[in-house]
Amino acid sequence: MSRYSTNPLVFENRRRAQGATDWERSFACEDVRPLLICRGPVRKEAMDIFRQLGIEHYGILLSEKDSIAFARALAPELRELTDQSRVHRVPDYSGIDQAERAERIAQIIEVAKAGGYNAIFAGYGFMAEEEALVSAIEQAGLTFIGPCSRTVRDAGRKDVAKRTALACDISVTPGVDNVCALALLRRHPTGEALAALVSEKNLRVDGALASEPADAAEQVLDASYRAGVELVSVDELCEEIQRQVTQLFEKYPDRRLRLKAIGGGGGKGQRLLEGPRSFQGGSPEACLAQAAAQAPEKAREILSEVKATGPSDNKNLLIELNIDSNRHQEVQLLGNGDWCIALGSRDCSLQMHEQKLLEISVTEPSIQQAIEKAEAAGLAARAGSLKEELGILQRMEAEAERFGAATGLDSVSTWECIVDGTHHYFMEMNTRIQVEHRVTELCYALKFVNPDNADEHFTVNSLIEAMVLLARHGERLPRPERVTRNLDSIEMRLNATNDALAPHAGGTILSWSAPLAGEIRDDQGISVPNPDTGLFMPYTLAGAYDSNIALMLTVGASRREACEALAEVMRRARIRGRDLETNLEFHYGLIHWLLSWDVRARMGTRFVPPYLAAVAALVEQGGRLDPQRMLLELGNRYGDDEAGLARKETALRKLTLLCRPLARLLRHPHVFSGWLSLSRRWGAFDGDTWQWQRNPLAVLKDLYTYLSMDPQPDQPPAYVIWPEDQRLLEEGLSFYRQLDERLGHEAGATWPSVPATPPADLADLWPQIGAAHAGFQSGLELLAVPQLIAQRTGFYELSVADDLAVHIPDQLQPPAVHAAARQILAPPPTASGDQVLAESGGMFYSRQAPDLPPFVAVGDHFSPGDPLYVIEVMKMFNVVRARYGGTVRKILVANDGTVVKKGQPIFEIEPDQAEDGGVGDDSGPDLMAELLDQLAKAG
Amino acid sequence: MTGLPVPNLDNPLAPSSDADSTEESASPYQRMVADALELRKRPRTAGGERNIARQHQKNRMTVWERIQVLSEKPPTVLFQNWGPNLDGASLVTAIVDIDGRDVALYAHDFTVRAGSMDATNGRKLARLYELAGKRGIPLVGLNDSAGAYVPAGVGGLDGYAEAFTALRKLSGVVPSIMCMFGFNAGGGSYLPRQGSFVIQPNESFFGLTGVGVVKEVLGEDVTPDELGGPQVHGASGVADFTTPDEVGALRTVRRLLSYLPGNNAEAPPFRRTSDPIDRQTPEIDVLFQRTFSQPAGFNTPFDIRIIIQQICDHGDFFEIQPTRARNTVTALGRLGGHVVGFVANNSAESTGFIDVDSALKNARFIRFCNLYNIPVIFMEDTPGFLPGTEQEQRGVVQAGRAMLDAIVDLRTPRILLLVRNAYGGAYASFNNYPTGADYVFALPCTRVAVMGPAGREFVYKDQLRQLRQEKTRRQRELFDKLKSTGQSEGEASAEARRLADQWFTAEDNKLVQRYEEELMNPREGLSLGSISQIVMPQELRQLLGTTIDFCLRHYEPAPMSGVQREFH
Repeated sequence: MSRYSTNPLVFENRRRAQGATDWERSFACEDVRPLLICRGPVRKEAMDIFRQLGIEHYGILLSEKDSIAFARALAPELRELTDQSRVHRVPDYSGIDQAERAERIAQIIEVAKAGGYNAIFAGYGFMAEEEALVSAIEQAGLTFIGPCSRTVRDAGRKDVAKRTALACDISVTPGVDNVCALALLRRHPTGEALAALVSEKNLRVDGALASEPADAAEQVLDASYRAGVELVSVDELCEEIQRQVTQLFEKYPDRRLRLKAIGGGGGKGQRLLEGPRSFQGGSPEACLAQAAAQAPEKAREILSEVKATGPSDNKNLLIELNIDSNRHQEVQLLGNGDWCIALGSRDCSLQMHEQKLLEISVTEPSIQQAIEKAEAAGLAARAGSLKEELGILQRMEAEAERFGAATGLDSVSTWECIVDGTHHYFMEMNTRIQVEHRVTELCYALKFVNPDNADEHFTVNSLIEAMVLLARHGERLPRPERVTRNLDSIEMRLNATNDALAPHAGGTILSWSAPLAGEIRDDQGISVPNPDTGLFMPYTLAGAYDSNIALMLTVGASRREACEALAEVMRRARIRGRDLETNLEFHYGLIHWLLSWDVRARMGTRFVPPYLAAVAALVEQGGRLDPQRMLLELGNRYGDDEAGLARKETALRKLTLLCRPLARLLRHPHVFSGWLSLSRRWGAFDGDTWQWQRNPLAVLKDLYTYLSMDPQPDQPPAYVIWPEDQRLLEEGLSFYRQLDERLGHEAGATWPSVPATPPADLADLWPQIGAAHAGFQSGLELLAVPQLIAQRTGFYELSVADDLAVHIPDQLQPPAVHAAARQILAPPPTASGDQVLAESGGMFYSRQAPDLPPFVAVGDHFSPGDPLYVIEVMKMFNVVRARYGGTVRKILVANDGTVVKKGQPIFEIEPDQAEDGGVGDDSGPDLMAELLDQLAKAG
Repeated sequence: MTGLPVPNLDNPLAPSSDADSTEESASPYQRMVADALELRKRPRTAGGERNIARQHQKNRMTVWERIQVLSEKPPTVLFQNWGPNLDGASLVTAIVDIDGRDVALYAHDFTVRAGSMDATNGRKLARLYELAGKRGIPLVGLNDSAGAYVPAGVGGLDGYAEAFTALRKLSGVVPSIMCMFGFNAGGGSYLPRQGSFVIQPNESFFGLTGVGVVKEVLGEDVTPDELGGPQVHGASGVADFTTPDEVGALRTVRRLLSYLPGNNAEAPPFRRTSDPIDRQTPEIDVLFQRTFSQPAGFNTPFDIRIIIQQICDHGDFFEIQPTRARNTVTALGRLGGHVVGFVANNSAESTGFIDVDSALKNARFIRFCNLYNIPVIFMEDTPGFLPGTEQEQRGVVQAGRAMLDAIVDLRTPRILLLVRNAYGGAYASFNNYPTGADYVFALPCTRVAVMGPAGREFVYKDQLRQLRQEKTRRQRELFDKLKSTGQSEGEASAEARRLADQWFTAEDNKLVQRYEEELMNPREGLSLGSISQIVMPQELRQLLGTTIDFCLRHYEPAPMSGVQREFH
């Protein structure tokens, strides 16, 4: 456990009271008594930071889902926080509607006062950006460790923020930010009509009604939320949204639109609308109508997701142009109300289902270094692209600092942008610490220097520490200098998702290997062992919250080094469990793709679905192959003369040596993908054959290492290379080493290293050398199989150009291909013809929203693609659609909100017609024969 | 290269070894030392490369590799050269250090004559068992054996018989954990099931016979997995644990051992805890509030493991037979550092009924705790024994009896916690004072009664008789009335019955409600001394923890003594 809680990158003495100078000691924070009101990895992190700051009196809230909703899902933080007087029970952390939220806020204030706390820390929870919470805390005389209510108000509401940004001359995206007001104006179009409405409903408007109807409408709406009077029904709002969407699509028929709730965040409350071009058949008008017709349903989904369905909830949505080739960047801001400093940016483009997967640091020194290297290597296109990157970063940082100052930022915030080519567009500012904040703090330290004495200074290495300092001593803190700690850092989110990246709830982690040196693992405390026995405690990922399990980070002296370190962390990580699925293999495959092409590739936010399609194609082709059968067949083709039989015999001696890792590749799509990326430069295609440019035996050794099956004394023998295989491998490699030596070659530098004619001094031994060479190489032809499959599927067409642009081939673009890929990567439970089985475990709902009718009732007929039910998995509401047509005979799940298991029958149905057999699996043997022919051709 | 070489795997460039030259000059003593060293190595090399490779091809570890997963320290091998070939006779016996504890270990070496039993290695096993018994250390068996060595004839069978007998004599003296690796039939299954716990990983088989015999005798085509895979044995309880792979099985051994004493004269390992024993458990109160405010009220199921989790130190506990008969939970956990067994009805599964499987699961676990000085906390929340032909045919009377007998015989500290439902026969046979409980505590939602809601038939006998008469009268009256409005006889009769039934159900429900309010509560139990005291949900850990600690302060771990009873 030592590394888990001693990594010097994140563990240090942060007690300013023990500082070197009086000035530093004046910034002590021991007297802060914070109450933590959030959960997730940040809770454990904050607890650690507090302790390092010398803060002993901190407390946490504990929700029912973290304590009594599921067995073995008890908050791991309790293993360390055993003082029950500092654990405060609440039903949940945020409340399910506005009324409950208000209740929870009151409860939090009460707990804080009764428990002797003087500060509140909200992490990145739902509540962190709740203006009502921050105001209530301020009014109660408590310190909020985070931005003040003014910042939250000015930046938090996305429509207001957009207007502020325009005023600060900041680049924003085209769209509509007041659809709710427009809907109201539809019925009450003039100032007079609005005034009449105000008096009719008895609303109290702040000040006089503005003369401009659009502004007046906003005032009236604000008053109606306060009064809890619904002026615009959801139906009316949806109609207006459809109208506005139609208008935007008329102007931009090639683009997609994005709907965003004003109170969303963390990927919640956002939906994409496909553009008219993605609808086929019919006139352009018909396509446009279809595209716009998606809007109401999506809007409803958003509103129920952000729980804004009551009369006092602001239901405004933003409708914006979606920048399709976009990348997502965000600037870390820090301020004390007077000064505001940008700490570089993070590239969070890699996303799926609007959830971030990978976050990479973007800082000036790192890009500068990369530009210098590219120029030195004569890579003009790369250098040019990086210079653009640097320009964007500098503009973003400047704008972010302006915006932060304009909103009076006195803590941390994240200023989010989308980047398209050389343009960037401001999206929103999140007035809280973010999940990925470590990426920034690992790159930049904050050096605070005494303004009166330049010799007195101290350095802060943690953003949460900085937040506490700002909350306690904000106005006294001088503007810090940013000091480079590491040039680069990277974070991956370990999620409970399957190979198609869909949430998978209900698994239990039974063991997790100890962190490597340099690995930062923010895992909510899951890896904290039972303090009494030292044993790992099984932890069930019940699915009550989002699918995130942990964040894993590494640093490096370049982006490449940081990525390599992360790859090594993933290679060595072993997480085992019952019914457990994670995205670890996805990340492992992807980081190798990046390392292979370019770690600075400009991956857009739409990269993942085509990438998954490329990976799915690999298993679709190769998943049915049986390496053992192939090796036997290969041996049979060697002929039955003495040499042929001996060659077969030596090949079969490699049965497990060769087939074990190959079978693993073929069964694990993402691992397969990563291997291709790693090995693609070790050989080349010659027509339809693959020629290695390295000794295949060395390639095999690297395959074992890549699979983390290289000899590791601390691992169970079943998880690594078998000893006899290791001996054979080493004997072979030492033969080639000795041969290289005798031939005067640099070891492994040339391949094939066996020349056609012997040098004089080896003439005697030459027949034996030939025999050993043939023996050690026999069967290794199979190692080309992954490459041949890659060639068949066009895997390498997904590539990165010299200017760092990502090329996504056409065959990976269509949404239908993405849907098919999901089926291949995570096959749904096989149903008997007359039952519909739950696609995944989760909470079942028969309808879109409580006020809508169920999708289907007994006796209803449904067609393929019709929605059948909603399954809530880890806070994601997935509409499940019919794969084939039929009639509902019986509904087997009685109530909405029932927890169902994957594969549990949901409906009894009468299928329209028996499904035909589909594509037969008989392509297997043919494929095997074809591949063997190709292998034979390679010679 | 000229001509076609005949491929081989010999490196012609390898530096030649001059090992041969030393032998000539060696003294007789040196030769003997060399010979001894060779003998010591023999059990590890006896299988030969080819057999080791075959074992690996099946994705199975060798016996030595399995031992390595159990313990980082090298084993002390006993009788290393047993058998005419001086190779250990396909069986490794050793003392291993598992997480600081001495454990007696036997393991079949499948690479040597398929791990089979010959005439003498039954005695080898018996020697090990005797050593384990004498020294009072737990036994672990790694089984991977094709069965009796046929060339050994009856000797192989005698070997098994000798092992069966010795292991039976060890039963109840030291705990034993058996892993089922590979393919074990006949004696290879019988022997390990004498152990305390059996662990089976995926891709393994054990059973009375292999599939070949089944095909021959019954003509049944069945795969080994269908006949004796982990799904089969996990469901029947023949395997106590199933795991995804061999490593998982070996890790389960280590975790299980952390809860077990070395022998029947010791207490299980105590671990001082940083979780305060007076930690309040308000979560249990919230759990009840949430559960009982559901539409189904007091009939709403919940997962009893959540309460076990709240009680145990740091919420850590370990379920025994977790995949079988989930309507009862048997688990080991620690409370104030002491190992405690939990036997708890689980309403989340089949309402917590006690059926044949759960009764046997409980009985087996209780008997184990009894033998090895483990106190037991019973948690009762069951509508009773599951009635019906299927259960009777499967022998629920005897299975239930086995559970009751195990409870009566239990001599370690034992507490009953009444959680909710406790009626009739289930109450009578579930660790109450008369069956020997040390303490009976009741949560406020306890509903102890001679019968469940069906008891109203007896308690309100007169009222019900009157209601039924009234119902008949009403039905007749309604029928007449309806007929007079011109309805056909059939229609009128059906409608009259429907309305009368409706009325009766409503009245009957009132009686159910009254019965629940008046009689289904802890009052009578308290007044009769069947319940010692009420415990509030918040105080549950504290009360159970201090009570267990009190009991154990005055409990001397010792082997069981006394007469043997019939039936178990």
